[in-house]
Amino acid sequence: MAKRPWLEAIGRRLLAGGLPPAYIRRLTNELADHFDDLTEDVMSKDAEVVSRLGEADQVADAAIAAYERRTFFGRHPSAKFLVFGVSPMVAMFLVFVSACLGIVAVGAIFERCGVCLSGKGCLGGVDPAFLGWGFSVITTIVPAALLTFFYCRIAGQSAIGKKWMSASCIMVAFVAMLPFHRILLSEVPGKSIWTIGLGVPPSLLQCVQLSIPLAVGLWFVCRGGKRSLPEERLPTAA
Amino acid sequence: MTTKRTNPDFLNGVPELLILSLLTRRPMYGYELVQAIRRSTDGTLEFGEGCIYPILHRLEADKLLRASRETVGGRSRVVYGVTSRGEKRLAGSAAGWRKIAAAVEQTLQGGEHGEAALA
Repeated sequence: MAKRPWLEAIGRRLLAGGLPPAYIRRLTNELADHFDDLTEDVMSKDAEVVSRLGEADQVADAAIAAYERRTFFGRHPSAKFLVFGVSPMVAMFLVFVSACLGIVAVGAIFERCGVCLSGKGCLGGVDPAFLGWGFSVITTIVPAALLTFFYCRIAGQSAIGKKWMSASCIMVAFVAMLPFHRILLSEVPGKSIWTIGLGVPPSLLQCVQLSIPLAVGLWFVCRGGKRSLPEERLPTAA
Repeated sequence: MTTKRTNPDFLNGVPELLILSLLTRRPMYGYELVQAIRRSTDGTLEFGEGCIYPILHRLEADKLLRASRETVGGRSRVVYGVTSRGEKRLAGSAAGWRKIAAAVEQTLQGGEHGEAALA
């Protein structure tokens, strides 16, 4: 029987197109009803029924196009490029700068409170490389993971597809890869040096900075194709 | 005019107009609606019937239609009806359509200063 493969082909294409599973379930249920009605009322051959309903790809493409027109990004396609192509880079850079300034501000507050931070002795012989990793986690790795999560959620809810979701992850990951920290601890309080730079080729730490947002994005992209289909919710007439 | 069967928006804005017009008369489910379009247009407008649902869902999202699950003929169906917003939209779209149709007809008839456009 052609009904099942036809519906499954539509479902797969809609899932790949990023449409919400609940919507896919509803659409395929209605199409299944329509298929049955056509079979009972008019014809018996499945091929003719499919011909009347439209090929799976055509129905799915129509559904994707109609669904996209319901969303802001569907009505304003150029906004996709700005939001998912450009703004992730700008946002990542701004978040990085803000986090660095935050560390400086926290350090300044501690020093004003008399907490010794800048002398080598004060930090108890902490390895500068370890500090570099710590700063990287605070200024880059965690913000990049959160930003990727944020953009993937927006992309998922907007049903704009995995292409733009992937693009935003790559943009965040690229900017997240660039920063590096060099810390020189001095014996003299106030004379330690924290250098921030942007550059390639990436060190091991920069590779970690690159891979974390990519991993988050990959998780979202893979998750999109494996979600279960929850039941539709429609009001029931009294 | 017969349009391509597989074209989802077989004429720009016409599916919405027909759907709103037919559903204003009475609520219907998808299959019923497709049959109603076929009857009311004498089969002139053909399209992939499966493509009616994305349009219905979009109109529902725009709050021009409301959907509810009802039992019709012993089977559970998603039945669509027009909202008050949909009725207003229909009135505007129908007036616009009549205006355009009259203008096109006038042109085809030769118009005030023109000649017959089609032999």
